Amino acid sequence: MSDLPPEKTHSDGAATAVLSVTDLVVELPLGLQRKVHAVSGVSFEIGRDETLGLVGESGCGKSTLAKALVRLVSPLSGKVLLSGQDVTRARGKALRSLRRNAQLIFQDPISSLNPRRTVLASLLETMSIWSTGDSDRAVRLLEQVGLDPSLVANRLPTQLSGGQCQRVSVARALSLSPSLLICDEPVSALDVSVQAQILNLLQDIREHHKLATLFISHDLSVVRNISNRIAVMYMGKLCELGSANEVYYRPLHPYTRLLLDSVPGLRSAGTGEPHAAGAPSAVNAPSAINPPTGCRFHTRCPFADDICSLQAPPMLEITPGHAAACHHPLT
Amino acid sequence: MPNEPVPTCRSVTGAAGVGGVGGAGISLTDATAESGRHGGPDGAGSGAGTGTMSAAGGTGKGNGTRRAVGNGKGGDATGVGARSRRRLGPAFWVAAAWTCVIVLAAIFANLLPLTNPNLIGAGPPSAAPSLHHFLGTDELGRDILSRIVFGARVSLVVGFASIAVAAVIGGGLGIVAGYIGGVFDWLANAVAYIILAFPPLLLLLAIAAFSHQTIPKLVAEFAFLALAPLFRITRASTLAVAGREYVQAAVASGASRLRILVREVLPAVLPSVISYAILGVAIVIVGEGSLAFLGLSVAIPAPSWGNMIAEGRTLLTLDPWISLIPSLAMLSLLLALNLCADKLGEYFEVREAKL
Repeated sequence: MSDLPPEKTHSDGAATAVLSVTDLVVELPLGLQRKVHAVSGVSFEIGRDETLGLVGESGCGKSTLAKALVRLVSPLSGKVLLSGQDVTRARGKALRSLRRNAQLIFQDPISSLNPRRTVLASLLETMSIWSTGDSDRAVRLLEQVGLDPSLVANRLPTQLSGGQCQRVSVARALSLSPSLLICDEPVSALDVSVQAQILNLLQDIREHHKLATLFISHDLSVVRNISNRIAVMYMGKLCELGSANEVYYRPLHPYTRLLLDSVPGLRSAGTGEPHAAGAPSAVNAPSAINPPTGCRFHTRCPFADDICSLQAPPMLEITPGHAAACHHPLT
Repeated sequence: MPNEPVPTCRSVTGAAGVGGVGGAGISLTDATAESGRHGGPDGAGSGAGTGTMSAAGGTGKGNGTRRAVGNGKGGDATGVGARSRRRLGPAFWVAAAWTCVIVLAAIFANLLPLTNPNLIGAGPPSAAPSLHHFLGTDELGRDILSRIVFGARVSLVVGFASIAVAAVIGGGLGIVAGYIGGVFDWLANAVAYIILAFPPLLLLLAIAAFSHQTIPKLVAEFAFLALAPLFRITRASTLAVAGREYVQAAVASGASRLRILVREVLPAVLPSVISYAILGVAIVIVGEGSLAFLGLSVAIPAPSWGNMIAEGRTLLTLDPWISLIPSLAMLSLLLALNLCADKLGEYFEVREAKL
């Protein structure tokens, strides 16, 4: 442990969880009785003032999971408790007021703002839904996200840079005073220099407002810096969940190691030695329409044996606070 | 998007038109770069200098000053600046003006110093255009100008009224079907396909064969035929808009469905539906003209452009203007409507393409 950097530890009990997801299943119909098993039994919790990072490759169900949390897509089964209320059961106005409590920040900063509205009008429109503020508040929010209201308030999204648009999105999300912020790849579309600024902004915002945050990215190194805990997702299932440094420096699941190794220019996970012999293959990814039996990663896993293709591994706490769903965890 | 955004060229011509000074053009790209600079925290390259700002300042009330805006009310300065860069162009305004002239003449036909359009022998028969009869007279000596103006009423009323009805009903159903989806969408779509599959001229001829045509009946027939295309167009645009992230953001903000339809989807869908509807008016006017030419529109002797063309066609070699003038009237109106639709579509397309 001594060689690890100090951890952003966090103690949260189940009682204080802002978001609690239990066994969430989302299947997206494709017609002809085919469907994408986008999210297959995912469970996790996010406490107040905590950031959970969610990583996984493209198409693993991260964004679908995010949308299911606010019922932008309807889950097939499972439970999503947002501040103790079940999102999956809510209807009508109750659902709308629950949605207000969890705000999304999208990947594409420009298209997440109405192109016909100025920045100020966008904020006012959102606030007018729940009467949460006036133009004075809008101006304060813009200042809070590091924008100069006198410069940007009356501009259209197309007249702003991507970073500025993303700041406006953050301001819009904050304007509803949510308790949960869901950031769906919020920096993937931005320049690297702007990425860092937006990440800092998100961190400041979270600390200042004591927000619970779900931070989704395909980039483990981005997630590590901002998250308290990291969940790794593969083909609709969580395969590893643990504190940020644990997952980053001592991955338990072979897939996590594949993710870490596939980041160019970073030291390899674990021992720092190349895993030439045991490197999981990054090709031949199976399809989520017809997911593999047993452990969904077994087709690409270098350690897979018979049991992996037969039995789906349960999520087990292997070291304290660090769980993995693997029959042969790396230790 | 078919039209590549060309903000730079547009803006240069735009600025030159206003200020008359070359080099005063602040292009959209400049504006974005500038916002990056002044926005500071996002750290877009700040070395690029302030040359654009001073160039704008040179025009006195250039973009530079207009951009200094107070928060809140009144100051839509950048909005205006952005809008002035996109222009509908003179062709649109000429076309729109010509359409307005015809519409106003038709509306106030009774107040204009025109002879009765059905007065036989208002002048010598088949007289060429002269000072007494600006557009001449037909074979019965009726004043052609008067008949053109009164005849425009039929074309315009049928064209605009039927499309208005179709746009409200078809468009309304389309936006709801596109946004709500599900069984309603499936059903409405199926009905639209059935209507589309029906040959339109056959339907019109069948109705005309059995009953006497009146203007309300013509409006209803053409409205019915225009319903399905307008439904399809609106539904398609709605589907495209409903998936956009800003609409999802509105859903995630807890906005109600009605609110999203009215505040987010409708404003995005309206431009394309309007430009399509204007095209629809032109198509219906042709349709009405065709029916009138066949004698299946309003009963003679009431003037209609189509039946005027038909009446003059036997004298085409001797007195060509009897057919030619209503033909030209229709041609010019159609050209104007098409131009309007085209330019409007382009105008909004550019707006979208910049996203």
